[in-house]
Amino acid sequence: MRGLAALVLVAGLAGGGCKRARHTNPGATIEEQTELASAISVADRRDSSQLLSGFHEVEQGAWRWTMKEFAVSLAPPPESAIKGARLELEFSLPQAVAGKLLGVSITPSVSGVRLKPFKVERVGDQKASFDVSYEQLRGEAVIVQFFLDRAMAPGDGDSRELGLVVSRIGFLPR
Amino acid sequence: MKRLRDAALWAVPLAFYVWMFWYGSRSWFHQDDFAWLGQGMHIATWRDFMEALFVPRAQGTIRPWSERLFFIAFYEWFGLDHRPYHVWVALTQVANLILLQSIMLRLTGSRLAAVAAPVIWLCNVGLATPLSWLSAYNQVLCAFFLLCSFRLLLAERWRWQWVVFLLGFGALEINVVYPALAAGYCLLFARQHLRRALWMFPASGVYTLIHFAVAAKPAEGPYAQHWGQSMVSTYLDYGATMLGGGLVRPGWNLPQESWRWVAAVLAAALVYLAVMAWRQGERLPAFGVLWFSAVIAPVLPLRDHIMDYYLAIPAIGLAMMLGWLLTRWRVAALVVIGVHILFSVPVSRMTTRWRFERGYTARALVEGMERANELHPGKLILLTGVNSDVFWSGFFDRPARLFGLTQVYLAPGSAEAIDRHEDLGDVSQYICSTVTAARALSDGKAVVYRFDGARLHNITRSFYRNLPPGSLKMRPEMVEVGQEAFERDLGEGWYAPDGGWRWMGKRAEVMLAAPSKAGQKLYVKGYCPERWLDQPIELTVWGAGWKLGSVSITRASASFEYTFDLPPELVGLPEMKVTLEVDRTNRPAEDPRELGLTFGQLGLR
Repeated sequence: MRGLAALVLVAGLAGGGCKRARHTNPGATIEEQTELASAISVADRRDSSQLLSGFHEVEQGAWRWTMKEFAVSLAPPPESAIKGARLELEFSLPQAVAGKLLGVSITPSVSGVRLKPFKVERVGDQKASFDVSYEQLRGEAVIVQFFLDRAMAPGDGDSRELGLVVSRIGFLPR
Repeated sequence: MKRLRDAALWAVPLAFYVWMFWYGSRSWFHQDDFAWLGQGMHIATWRDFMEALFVPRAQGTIRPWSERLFFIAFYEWFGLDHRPYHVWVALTQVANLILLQSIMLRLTGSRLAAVAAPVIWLCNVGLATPLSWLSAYNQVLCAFFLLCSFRLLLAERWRWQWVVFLLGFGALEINVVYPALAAGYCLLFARQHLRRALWMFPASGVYTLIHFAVAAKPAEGPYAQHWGQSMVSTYLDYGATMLGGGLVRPGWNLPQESWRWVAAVLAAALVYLAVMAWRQGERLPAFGVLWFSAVIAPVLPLRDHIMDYYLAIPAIGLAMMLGWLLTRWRVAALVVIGVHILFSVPVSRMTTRWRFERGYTARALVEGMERANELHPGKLILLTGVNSDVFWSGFFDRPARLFGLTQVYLAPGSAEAIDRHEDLGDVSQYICSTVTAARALSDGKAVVYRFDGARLHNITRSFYRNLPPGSLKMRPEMVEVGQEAFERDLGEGWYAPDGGWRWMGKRAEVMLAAPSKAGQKLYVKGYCPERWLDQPIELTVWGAGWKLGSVSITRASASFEYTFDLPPELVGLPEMKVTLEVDRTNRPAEDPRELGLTFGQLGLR
């Protein structure tokens, strides 16, 4: 009995000196791949990594002003490498800039190939749609650029260069 | 040479223990373990410590050594490293094996019986859970106190016997039976000491009175006590399980209930042999029966809570009996022991393996949550892929709070995968609503993980994209009034949040989802300092313009939870405005605000 008591005591004392810092297990989670979406909301912060250039800050949690040229990266939608796809740009032309920008022409470029331009002929919310050939939709991601033929220059009531008020850009399956 | 042989004999049960419980001794924390591990989180002073040790918990149990001190001290020293806990359990069990061997040697004088008894005990299904699940350590420790007390009785060390007996109350309530064991032994073997044994009954009586004074006495559910004829069938059930293993190992292609037939045959054989022995003046088999019956007696009223681990200590009686039989009728004993082991060992091994696998899964989930919390601090963590077994073994007892994570829930739509156990708790509290998930994800304040049984996979983006359209515009069914995330659901009349709670003025409004089916109720949880309740405060509640009811908040209900019936006319409305109004407010000297009541939660149930 005495031996057992001594064993218990020694184990207890030894335990008291073993306080250790805990480290998390790095293999316990598999984090999300930087998977690209084929359609993005430009105000959504989870999609912000796909905004490449030409966008100003989010406004009213719903949209961003663009510059004269802006670009995003998108994933081609399923089967688009066979069938092609449709590129859609949801945007608005505010009344306040209509005087200067009504009639502006939007020319997208997908994987470096320019598409047929879209002319903005009214103010307010609208959607521009473009057909994209399957040849431009190969690979994991494609770069989509938009070129406006004119924009509001800085200093004209705003220190920024302003193009369109964009809310959403994406591919749709054809 | 003789000393070497003796040492080898002492080591046989220990080696067998390692073989039997190779998996169980390595199982990670699961189920109740997390509740016990979290006990130390609220200890800041000596008073807290003493309360943590001795204030009744769960069903009114007071087990300071086996459930309180064990987990508090080891968590303080070793955190979530399960190995030292198991080493401690193993040391206790090794002591038990040595004590049992020593007792049998003393009672029979036979080395064979002394080695056989602990080995037979280890084979019993009753030990599989206590030696594989840390929360059942109370059984192992209680066995230690009973065996140690009994060994001291045999050595006629009366004072030490008393000390160990009294300390045993800190391990498990079953310790109350020790006077019966001691008296039984004295009646059968040493009548001259019977008076000493009888003196211990008052101690057990006092403990029993205290226990019944503080213990919960549920009228229904698994812990409801049934005093009556059902105790006989419960006794027979335990006896059968102890002998036959309680089930037939899958893959044996035997009828499902065949273990009962085996148990009946074994029981008949043992009764016959015990009677034969009694006629020949041998009392040890009778003492084995007494040990089993006395130790199982306290749990017999729990008709609906029959647990295999309640057999851990009673099975010592069977081990003593079978060990003794080996010294007298060796062939008969070997047959009985062989059949018993044939049915018990596979079940024990299966149980201990199952515990190991359960712990493995719980570990993957808990470590995943810990890592996710480290990678995404402050964010709400939502989980998919958590099935019912994982939920009850690794999520229900909120292990994440051990590393400071409270905002972790199952993702919307997970409820269907979880079996309900109303006696354990409400599953809905663990599931995030669609609207809350959508809002948090939209604000970048949440991450979603899928559990595959071994790891958590971040699926935030795909989960967010697949949320039902319009999720962001929905109203929640439950509003955490004090949480910033729910501010958009609060109407007029609220002050700034205050530590998870929020004060209302005289009148306040909350926007909720309307009930989706008849019978749902409105639940409110709130508080008012007692010093403001010299006169009651009348709280009146309206839902979508319907008066739902009024309640009086008094000193007795300063911390209150109420539910109000909702009229069926509200079912199907797009949303529901809930209005709260008190008949008077308070304006404390240190606070310029006009304060009504403070609320934590408000929603549908």
